[in-house]
Amino acid sequence: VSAFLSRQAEELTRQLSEAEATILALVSGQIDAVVDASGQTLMLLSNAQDALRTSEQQYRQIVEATSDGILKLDDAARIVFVNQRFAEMLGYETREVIGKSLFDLKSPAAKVIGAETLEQRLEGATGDFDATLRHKSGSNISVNVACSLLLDANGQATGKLAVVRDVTARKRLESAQLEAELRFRRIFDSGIAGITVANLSGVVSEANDTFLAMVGYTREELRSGRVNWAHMTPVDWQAASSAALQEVHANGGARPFEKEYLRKDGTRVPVLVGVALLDESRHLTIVADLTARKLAEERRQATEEANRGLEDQLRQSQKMKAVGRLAGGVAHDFNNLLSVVVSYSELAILDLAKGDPIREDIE
Amino acid sequence: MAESFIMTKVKNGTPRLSIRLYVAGNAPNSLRAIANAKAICDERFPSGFKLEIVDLLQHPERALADGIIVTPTLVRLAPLPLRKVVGNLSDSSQVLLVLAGP
Repeated sequence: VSAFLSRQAEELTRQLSEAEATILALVSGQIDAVVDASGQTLMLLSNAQDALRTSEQQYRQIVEATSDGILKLDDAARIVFVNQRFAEMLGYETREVIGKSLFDLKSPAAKVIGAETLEQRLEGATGDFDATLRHKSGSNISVNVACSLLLDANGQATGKLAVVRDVTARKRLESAQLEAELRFRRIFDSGIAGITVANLSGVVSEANDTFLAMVGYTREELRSGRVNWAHMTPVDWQAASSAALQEVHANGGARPFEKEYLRKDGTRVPVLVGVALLDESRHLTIVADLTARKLAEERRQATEEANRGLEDQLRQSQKMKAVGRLAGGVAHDFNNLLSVVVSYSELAILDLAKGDPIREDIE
Repeated sequence: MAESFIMTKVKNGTPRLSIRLYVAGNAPNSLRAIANAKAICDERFPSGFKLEIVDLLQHPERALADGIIVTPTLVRLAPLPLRKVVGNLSDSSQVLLVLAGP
Protein backbone atom coordinates (compact mmCIF):
# COMPACT_ATOMS: atom_id res chain seq x y z
CA VAL A 1 0.00 0.00 0.00
CA SER A 2 2.74 2.38 0.88
CA ALA A 3 4.47 1.62 -2.46
CA PHE A 4 1.21 2.35 -4.30
CA LEU A 5 0.76 5.59 -2.39
CA SER A 6 4.28 6.71 -3.04
CA ARG A 7 3.79 5.98 -6.80
CA GLN A 8 0.57 8.03 -6.67
CA ALA A 9 2.40 10.85 -4.93
CA GLU A 10 5.14 10.74 -7.53
CA GLU A 11 2.60 10.92 -10.37
CA LEU A 12 0.80 13.84 -8.73
CA THR A 13 4.08 15.69 -8.26
CA ARG A 14 4.89 15.17 -11.94
CA GLN A 15 1.47 16.43 -13.03
CA LEU A 16 1.78 19.39 -10.73
CA SER A 17 5.18 20.34 -12.09
CA GLU A 18 3.81 19.99 -15.65
CA ALA A 19 0.89 22.27 -14.82
CA GLU A 20 3.30 24.70 -13.26
CA ALA A 21 5.48 24.64 -16.39
CA THR A 22 2.42 25.21 -18.58
CA ILE A 23 1.34 28.21 -16.54
CA LEU A 24 4.88 29.56 -16.60
CA ALA A 25 4.98 29.18 -20.38
CA LEU A 26 1.59 30.88 -20.70
CA VAL A 27 2.68 33.80 -18.52
CA SER A 28 5.92 34.24 -20.44
CA GLY A 29 4.02 34.33 -23.73
CA GLN A 30 5.40 31.08 -25.15
CA ILE A 31 1.99 29.58 -25.90
CA ASP A 32 0.28 29.98 -29.29
CA ALA A 33 -2.92 28.05 -28.82
CA VAL A 34 -5.04 26.24 -26.27
CA VAL A 35 -6.91 23.04 -27.08
CA ASP A 36 -10.63 23.40 -26.46
CA ALA A 37 -11.32 20.55 -24.03
CA SER A 38 -14.98 20.19 -25.08
CA GLY A 39 -14.54 19.97 -28.80
CA GLN A 40 -11.65 19.25 -31.03
CA THR A 41 -10.72 22.79 -31.95
CA LEU A 42 -7.71 24.90 -31.32
CA MET A 43 -8.15 28.41 -29.89
CA LEU A 44 -5.41 30.67 -31.11
CA LEU A 45 -4.21 33.21 -28.58
CA SER A 46 -4.37 36.83 -29.69
CA ASN A 47 -0.67 37.25 -30.41
CA ALA A 48 -0.77 34.15 -32.55
CA GLN A 49 -3.82 35.49 -34.35
CA ASP A 50 -2.00 38.75 -34.97
CA ALA A 51 0.90 36.82 -36.36
CA LEU A 52 -1.39 34.85 -38.65
CA ARG A 53 -3.09 38.04 -39.75
CA THR A 54 0.31 39.59 -40.50
CA SER A 55 1.30 36.53 -42.43
CA GLU A 56 -1.97 36.68 -44.39
CA GLN A 57 -1.36 40.36 -45.07
CA GLN A 58 2.08 39.54 -46.36
CA TYR A 59 0.63 36.99 -48.76
CA ARG A 60 -1.93 39.52 -49.93
CA GLN A 61 0.81 42.08 -50.51
CA ILE A 62 2.75 39.58 -52.57
CA VAL A 63 -0.36 38.75 -54.58
CA GLU A 64 -1.08 42.41 -55.21
CA ALA A 65 2.50 43.46 -55.89
CA THR A 66 3.17 40.91 -58.59
CA SER A 67 3.04 41.95 -62.23
CA ASP A 68 1.06 38.84 -63.08
CA GLY A 69 -2.67 38.43 -62.83
CA ILE A 70 -3.70 35.93 -60.15
CA LEU A 71 -7.08 34.23 -60.22
CA LYS A 72 -8.82 31.68 -58.10
CA LEU A 73 -11.40 29.68 -60.02
CA ASP A 74 -14.02 27.37 -58.60
CA ASP A 75 -14.61 23.96 -60.19
CA ALA A 76 -16.92 25.56 -62.79
CA ALA A 77 -14.12 27.98 -63.83
CA ARG A 78 -16.01 30.86 -62.17
CA ILE A 79 -13.73 33.55 -60.83
CA VAL A 80 -13.88 33.72 -57.03
CA PHE A 81 -10.80 35.87 -56.51
CA VAL A 82 -8.67 38.15 -58.66
CA ASN A 83 -5.87 40.49 -57.83
CA GLN A 84 -5.91 44.10 -58.97
CA ARG A 85 -3.41 43.37 -61.74
CA PHE A 86 -5.65 40.88 -63.53
CA ALA A 87 -8.57 43.31 -63.53
CA GLU A 88 -6.29 46.08 -64.87
CA MET A 89 -4.97 43.79 -67.56
CA LEU A 90 -8.46 43.42 -68.99
CA GLY A 91 -9.66 46.94 -68.17
CA TYR A 92 -12.17 45.93 -65.48
CA GLU A 93 -12.68 46.64 -61.80
CA THR A 94 -12.02 43.60 -59.62
CA ARG A 95 -15.67 43.50 -58.48
CA GLU A 96 -16.81 43.34 -62.13
CA VAL A 97 -14.72 40.26 -62.77
CA ILE A 98 -15.70 38.29 -59.64
CA GLY A 99 -18.37 35.74 -60.48
CA LYS A 100 -17.69 35.76 -64.22
CA SER A 101 -16.53 32.61 -65.89
CA LEU A 102 -13.04 32.77 -67.30
CA PHE A 103 -14.61 31.73 -70.61
CA ASP A 104 -16.63 34.98 -70.64
CA LEU A 105 -13.34 36.85 -70.86
CA LYS A 106 -12.05 34.82 -73.76
CA SER A 107 -11.48 36.57 -77.05
CA PRO A 108 -14.29 35.79 -79.54
CA ALA A 109 -11.71 35.88 -82.33
CA ALA A 110 -9.91 33.00 -80.67
CA LYS A 111 -13.13 31.16 -80.00
CA VAL A 112 -12.74 28.26 -82.41
CA ILE A 113 -9.34 27.23 -81.18
CA GLY A 114 -9.46 29.09 -77.90
CA ALA A 115 -12.73 27.56 -76.76
CA GLU A 116 -11.33 24.09 -76.98
CA THR A 117 -7.91 24.81 -75.64
CA LEU A 118 -9.00 26.98 -72.74
CA GLU A 119 -11.57 24.45 -71.57
CA GLN A 120 -9.40 21.47 -72.26
CA ARG A 121 -6.38 23.06 -70.72
CA LEU A 122 -8.35 23.99 -67.64
CA GLU A 123 -9.60 20.43 -67.52
CA GLY A 124 -6.06 19.17 -67.44
CA ALA A 125 -4.96 20.00 -63.96
CA THR A 126 -1.68 21.81 -64.25
CA GLY A 127 0.87 23.27 -66.62
CA ASP A 128 0.92 26.45 -68.64
CA PHE A 129 -0.53 27.40 -72.00
CA ASP A 130 -1.12 30.42 -74.24
CA ALA A 131 -4.58 31.92 -74.62
CA THR A 132 -6.19 35.08 -75.94
CA LEU A 133 -8.44 37.10 -73.66
CA ARG A 134 -10.58 40.08 -74.55
CA HIS A 135 -9.96 43.51 -73.04
CA LYS A 136 -13.07 45.41 -71.96
CA SER A 137 -12.42 47.77 -74.90
CA GLY A 138 -12.61 44.81 -77.30
CA SER A 139 -8.94 44.46 -78.13
CA ASN A 140 -7.18 41.12 -77.79
CA ILE A 141 -4.73 40.35 -75.01
CA SER A 142 -2.27 37.52 -75.49
CA VAL A 143 -1.65 35.76 -72.22
CA ASN A 144 0.23 32.85 -70.83
CA VAL A 145 -1.74 30.97 -68.18
CA ALA A 146 -0.08 28.79 -65.56
CA CYS A 147 -2.59 26.62 -63.73
CA SER A 148 -2.44 24.58 -60.60
CA LEU A 149 -5.04 22.68 -58.61
CA LEU A 150 -6.18 23.97 -55.25
CA LEU A 151 -6.60 21.17 -52.73
CA ASP A 152 -8.31 21.15 -49.37
CA ALA A 153 -6.95 19.45 -46.23
CA ASN A 154 -8.24 16.09 -47.44
CA GLY A 155 -6.58 16.40 -50.83
CA GLN A 156 -9.86 17.10 -52.64
CA ALA A 157 -9.72 19.62 -55.52
CA THR A 158 -11.63 22.78 -54.63
CA GLY A 159 -10.77 24.78 -57.73
CA LYS A 160 -7.84 26.14 -59.63
CA LEU A 161 -5.27 28.80 -59.18
CA ALA A 162 -4.29 30.57 -62.39
CA VAL A 163 -1.38 32.92 -62.85
CA VAL A 164 -1.95 34.98 -65.99
CA ARG A 165 0.89 36.84 -67.67
CA ASP A 166 0.26 39.48 -70.31
CA VAL A 167 2.50 38.55 -73.23
CA THR A 168 0.93 40.92 -75.80
CA ALA A 169 3.97 43.21 -75.84
CA ARG A 170 6.28 40.23 -76.04
CA LYS A 171 4.27 38.72 -78.90
CA ARG A 172 4.26 42.04 -80.73
CA LEU A 173 7.99 42.36 -80.26
CA GLU A 174 8.47 38.81 -81.45
CA SER A 175 6.50 39.41 -84.62
CA ALA A 176 8.30 42.71 -85.23
CA GLN A 177 11.59 40.92 -84.83
CA LEU A 178 10.40 38.19 -87.13
CA GLU A 179 9.42 40.74 -89.75
CA ALA A 180 12.72 42.58 -89.47
CA GLU A 181 14.53 39.30 -89.82
CA LEU A 182 12.42 38.36 -92.83
CA ARG A 183 13.12 41.72 -94.43
CA PHE A 184 16.83 41.28 -93.92
CA ARG A 185 16.61 37.71 -95.21
CA ARG A 186 14.96 39.04 -98.40
CA ILE A 187 17.78 41.51 -98.95
CA PHE A 188 20.27 38.79 -98.11
CA ASP A 189 18.77 36.41 -100.66
CA SER A 190 18.00 39.01 -103.32
CA GLY A 191 21.49 38.80 -104.79
CA ILE A 192 21.75 42.57 -105.20
CA ALA A 193 25.05 42.48 -103.37
CA GLY A 194 27.27 40.05 -101.53
CA ILE A 195 26.40 40.05 -97.84
CA THR A 196 28.39 38.38 -95.08
CA VAL A 197 28.45 38.15 -91.33
CA ALA A 198 31.91 37.62 -89.89
CA ASN A 199 33.41 37.54 -86.42
CA LEU A 200 36.30 39.68 -85.24
CA SER A 201 38.95 37.16 -86.27
CA GLY A 202 37.64 37.36 -89.82
CA VAL A 203 35.88 34.00 -90.04
CA VAL A 204 32.79 34.38 -92.21
CA SER A 205 29.88 32.58 -90.57
CA GLU A 206 27.16 33.60 -92.99
CA ALA A 207 27.28 34.58 -96.63
CA ASN A 208 24.79 34.68 -99.45
CA ASP A 209 25.27 32.94 -102.80
CA THR A 210 26.18 36.21 -104.50
CA PHE A 211 29.16 36.62 -102.21
CA LEU A 212 30.28 33.02 -102.54
CA ALA A 213 30.11 33.26 -106.33
CA MET A 214 32.08 36.52 -106.20
CA VAL A 215 34.99 35.01 -104.30
CA GLY A 216 34.74 31.48 -105.66
CA TYR A 217 34.07 29.55 -102.45
CA THR A 218 31.47 26.83 -101.91
CA ARG A 219 28.85 26.70 -99.18
CA GLU A 220 30.59 23.65 -97.70
CA GLU A 221 33.78 25.64 -97.34
CA LEU A 222 31.79 28.39 -95.65
CA ARG A 223 30.24 25.88 -93.27
CA SER A 224 33.60 24.44 -92.32
CA GLY A 225 34.87 27.94 -91.45
CA ARG A 226 37.41 28.15 -94.26
CA VAL A 227 36.15 31.45 -95.63
CA ASN A 228 38.16 34.14 -93.88
CA TRP A 229 38.63 37.83 -94.63
CA ALA A 230 42.29 37.50 -93.75
CA HIS A 231 42.88 35.16 -96.72
CA MET A 232 40.78 37.25 -99.03
CA THR A 233 42.56 40.55 -98.59
CA PRO A 234 45.66 40.96 -100.79
CA VAL A 235 48.82 42.20 -99.05
CA ASP A 236 48.72 45.57 -100.79
CA TRP A 237 45.20 46.18 -99.47
CA GLN A 238 45.77 45.11 -95.87
CA ALA A 239 46.72 48.55 -94.52
CA ALA A 240 43.62 50.18 -96.02
CA SER A 241 41.42 47.33 -94.78
CA SER A 242 42.61 47.48 -91.19
CA ALA A 243 42.17 51.26 -91.19
CA ALA A 244 38.59 50.75 -92.32
CA LEU A 245 38.02 48.13 -89.61
CA GLN A 246 39.34 50.52 -86.98
CA GLU A 247 36.87 53.11 -88.20
CA VAL A 248 34.11 50.52 -87.92
CA HIS A 249 34.97 49.79 -84.31
CA ALA A 250 35.28 53.45 -83.43
CA ASN A 251 32.09 54.65 -85.13
CA GLY A 252 30.01 51.50 -85.57
CA GLY A 253 30.40 51.68 -89.34
CA ALA A 254 32.70 52.80 -92.15
CA ARG A 255 32.06 54.70 -95.32
CA PRO A 256 32.00 52.38 -98.33
CA PHE A 257 35.45 51.97 -99.80
CA GLU A 258 36.92 50.26 -102.83
CA LYS A 259 39.37 47.43 -102.54
CA GLU A 260 40.23 44.11 -104.08
CA TYR A 261 39.62 40.58 -102.87
CA LEU A 262 41.57 37.51 -103.67
CA ARG A 263 39.42 34.75 -105.03
CA LYS A 264 40.07 31.19 -103.98
CA ASP A 265 41.86 30.63 -107.32
CA GLY A 266 44.19 33.60 -106.65
CA THR A 267 42.66 36.01 -109.16
CA ARG A 268 41.47 39.39 -107.96
CA VAL A 269 38.05 40.89 -107.90
CA PRO A 270 37.53 44.65 -107.52
CA VAL A 271 34.83 45.43 -104.96
CA LEU A 272 33.06 48.22 -103.13
CA VAL A 273 32.76 47.32 -99.42
CA GLY A 274 30.46 48.70 -96.72
CA VAL A 275 30.99 47.46 -93.16
CA ALA A 276 28.76 47.89 -90.11
CA LEU A 277 29.10 46.52 -86.60
CA LEU A 278 26.33 43.98 -85.95
CA ASP A 279 27.10 43.48 -82.25
CA GLU A 280 30.26 43.56 -80.17
CA SER A 281 31.64 40.42 -81.77
CA ARG A 282 30.37 40.39 -85.35
CA HIS A 283 30.21 42.67 -88.35
CA LEU A 284 28.01 42.81 -91.36
CA THR A 285 29.69 43.43 -94.70
CA ILE A 286 27.98 44.36 -97.93
CA VAL A 287 30.09 43.81 -101.01
CA ALA A 288 29.37 45.03 -104.54
CA ASP A 289 31.31 43.44 -107.39
CA LEU A 290 32.96 46.19 -109.42
CA THR A 291 34.26 43.89 -112.16
CA ALA A 292 31.57 44.92 -114.61
CA ARG A 293 31.99 48.58 -113.78
CA LYS A 294 35.76 48.42 -114.08
CA LEU A 295 35.37 46.63 -117.40
CA ALA A 296 32.97 49.27 -118.63
CA GLU A 297 35.36 51.96 -117.54
CA GLU A 298 38.22 50.32 -119.40
CA ARG A 299 36.08 49.95 -122.47
CA ARG A 300 35.14 53.60 -122.26
CA GLN A 301 38.77 54.54 -122.04
CA ALA A 302 39.63 52.39 -125.05
CA THR A 303 36.78 53.90 -127.02
CA GLU A 304 37.91 57.34 -126.03
CA GLU A 305 41.39 56.60 -127.32
CA ALA A 306 40.04 55.20 -130.54
CA ASN A 307 37.88 58.27 -130.94
CA ARG A 308 40.80 60.52 -130.33
CA GLY A 309 42.60 58.80 -133.31
CA LEU A 310 39.64 59.35 -135.60
CA GLU A 311 39.47 62.95 -134.56
CA ASP A 312 43.06 63.48 -135.50
CA GLN A 313 42.42 61.93 -138.91
CA LEU A 314 39.40 64.11 -139.38
CA ARG A 315 41.34 67.20 -138.43
CA GLN A 316 44.07 66.23 -140.89
CA SER A 317 41.65 65.68 -143.70
CA GLN A 318 39.96 68.97 -142.98
CA LYS A 319 43.35 70.65 -143.17
CA MET A 320 44.00 68.95 -146.44
CA LYS A 321 40.64 70.03 -147.70
CA ALA A 322 41.36 73.62 -146.79
CA VAL A 323 44.74 73.48 -148.46
CA GLY A 324 43.13 71.89 -151.47
CA ARG A 325 40.50 74.55 -151.61
CA LEU A 326 43.19 77.20 -151.34
CA ALA A 327 45.24 75.50 -154.00
CA GLY A 328 42.14 75.25 -156.15
CA GLY A 329 41.51 78.96 -155.76
CA VAL A 330 45.06 79.82 -156.54
CA ALA A 331 44.97 77.48 -159.54
CA HIS A 332 41.78 79.07 -160.74
CA ASP A 333 43.20 82.56 -160.53
CA PHE A 334 46.36 81.36 -162.15
CA ASN A 335 44.29 79.60 -164.78
CA ASN A 336 42.44 82.83 -165.56
CA LEU A 337 45.68 84.65 -166.02
CA LEU A 338 47.07 81.76 -167.99
CA SER A 339 44.05 81.56 -170.28
CA VAL A 340 44.45 85.26 -171.09
CA VAL A 341 48.13 84.65 -171.84
CA VAL A 342 47.25 81.58 -173.93
CA SER A 343 44.48 83.38 -175.84
CA TYR A 344 46.56 86.40 -176.58
CA SER A 345 49.45 84.18 -177.59
CA GLU A 346 47.18 82.29 -180.01
CA LEU A 347 45.86 85.56 -181.41
CA ALA A 348 49.45 86.77 -181.76
CA ILE A 349 50.40 83.60 -183.63
CA LEU A 350 47.57 84.18 -186.11
CA ASP A 351 49.04 87.55 -186.99
CA LEU A 352 52.57 86.19 -187.49
CA ALA A 353 53.84 84.99 -190.79
CA LYS A 354 55.09 81.45 -191.22
CA GLY A 355 58.78 81.28 -190.44
CA ASP A 356 58.74 84.35 -188.28
CA PRO A 357 61.54 83.95 -185.72
CA ILE A 358 59.30 85.02 -182.75
CA ARG A 359 56.70 82.34 -183.62
CA GLU A 360 58.69 79.57 -182.07
CA ASP A 361 59.05 81.51 -178.79
CA ILE A 362 55.35 82.25 -178.59
CA GLU A 363 54.39 78.58 -179.24
CA MET B 1 0.81 26.06 -42.59
CA ALA B 2 3.43 23.70 -41.32
CA GLU B 3 2.69 20.26 -42.65
CA SER B 4 2.96 17.42 -40.20
CA PHE B 5 6.21 15.69 -40.89
CA ILE B 6 8.70 13.34 -39.40
CA MET B 7 12.38 14.02 -39.35
CA THR B 8 14.59 11.07 -38.56
CA LYS B 9 18.28 10.69 -38.24
CA VAL B 10 19.44 7.13 -37.65
CA LYS B 11 22.99 5.83 -37.47
CA ASN B 12 22.40 2.19 -36.44
CA GLY B 13 19.08 0.52 -35.68
CA THR B 14 16.13 2.36 -34.18
CA PRO B 15 16.97 5.67 -32.56
CA ARG B 16 16.80 5.69 -28.75
CA LEU B 17 15.18 9.13 -28.66
CA SER B 18 11.74 9.61 -30.15
CA ILE B 19 9.90 12.90 -29.68
CA ARG B 20 6.77 14.56 -30.99
CA LEU B 21 6.19 18.30 -31.19
CA TYR B 22 2.65 19.70 -31.27
CA VAL B 23 2.36 23.11 -32.98
CA ALA B 24 -0.27 25.57 -34.23
CA GLY B 25 0.48 26.28 -37.89
CA ASN B 26 2.86 29.15 -38.51
CA ALA B 27 2.25 30.80 -35.16
CA PRO B 28 5.49 32.41 -33.96
CA ASN B 29 6.13 30.25 -30.86
CA SER B 30 5.38 27.14 -32.89
CA LEU B 31 7.89 28.07 -35.60
CA ARG B 32 10.46 28.88 -32.93
CA ALA B 33 9.80 25.58 -31.17
CA ILE B 34 10.28 23.61 -34.40
CA ALA B 35 13.59 25.34 -35.08
CA ASN B 36 14.76 24.86 -31.49
CA ALA B 37 13.77 21.19 -31.39
CA LYS B 38 15.65 20.48 -34.63
CA ALA B 39 18.73 22.30 -33.40
CA ILE B 40 18.80 20.54 -30.01
CA CYS B 41 18.31 17.11 -31.61
CA ASP B 42 21.00 17.74 -34.22
CA GLU B 43 23.51 19.04 -31.70
CA ARG B 44 22.87 16.86 -28.65
CA PHE B 45 21.72 13.57 -30.21
CA PRO B 46 24.09 13.06 -33.11
CA SER B 47 23.76 9.28 -32.77
CA GLY B 48 20.16 9.52 -33.96
CA PHE B 49 16.63 10.63 -33.12
CA LYS B 50 13.07 10.64 -34.43
CA LEU B 51 11.25 13.98 -34.41
CA GLU B 52 7.60 14.20 -35.46
CA ILE B 53 5.89 17.54 -35.98
CA VAL B 54 2.09 17.56 -35.59
CA ASP B 55 0.15 20.64 -36.68
CA LEU B 56 -2.95 20.80 -34.50
CA LEU B 57 -4.54 23.40 -36.79
CA GLN B 58 -4.76 20.67 -39.39
CA HIS B 59 -5.24 17.72 -37.03
CA PRO B 60 -6.96 19.08 -33.89
CA GLU B 61 -8.29 15.59 -33.09
CA ARG B 62 -4.79 14.40 -32.26
CA ALA B 63 -4.55 16.81 -29.33
CA LEU B 64 -7.04 15.04 -27.10
CA ALA B 65 -5.68 11.64 -27.98
CA ASP B 66 -2.28 12.64 -26.70
CA GLY B 67 -3.53 14.74 -23.78
CA ILE B 68 -2.22 18.02 -25.14
CA ILE B 69 -3.79 21.21 -23.82
CA VAL B 70 -1.54 23.93 -25.27
CA THR B 71 0.87 24.42 -28.19
CA PRO B 72 3.73 24.22 -28.59
CA THR B 73 4.24 21.09 -26.51
CA LEU B 74 7.07 18.64 -26.89
CA VAL B 75 6.47 15.04 -25.82
CA ARG B 76 9.21 12.49 -25.26
CA LEU B 77 7.76 9.16 -26.47
CA ALA B 78 10.89 7.09 -26.01
CA PRO B 79 12.65 6.27 -23.85
CA LEU B 80 9.77 5.89 -21.42
CA PRO B 81 8.34 7.36 -19.23
CA LEU B 82 6.52 10.03 -21.27
CA ARG B 83 7.83 13.50 -20.51
CA LYS B 84 6.53 16.88 -21.70
CA VAL B 85 8.03 20.30 -22.27
CA VAL B 86 5.68 23.23 -22.82
CA GLY B 87 6.69 26.46 -24.62
CA ASN B 88 8.92 27.53 -27.46
CA LEU B 89 11.91 25.44 -26.28
CA SER B 90 14.29 28.42 -26.23
CA ASP B 91 15.68 27.30 -22.84
CA SER B 92 17.72 24.47 -24.35
CA SER B 93 19.31 23.35 -21.06
CA GLN B 94 15.88 22.75 -19.54
CA VAL B 95 14.75 20.89 -22.69
CA LEU B 96 17.88 18.79 -22.59
CA LEU B 97 17.30 17.99 -18.92
CA VAL B 98 13.90 16.50 -19.82
CA LEU B 99 15.01 14.70 -23.01
CA ALA B 100 18.11 13.14 -21.47
CA GLY B 101 16.57 12.63 -18.00
CA PRO B 102 14.80 9.59 -16.51
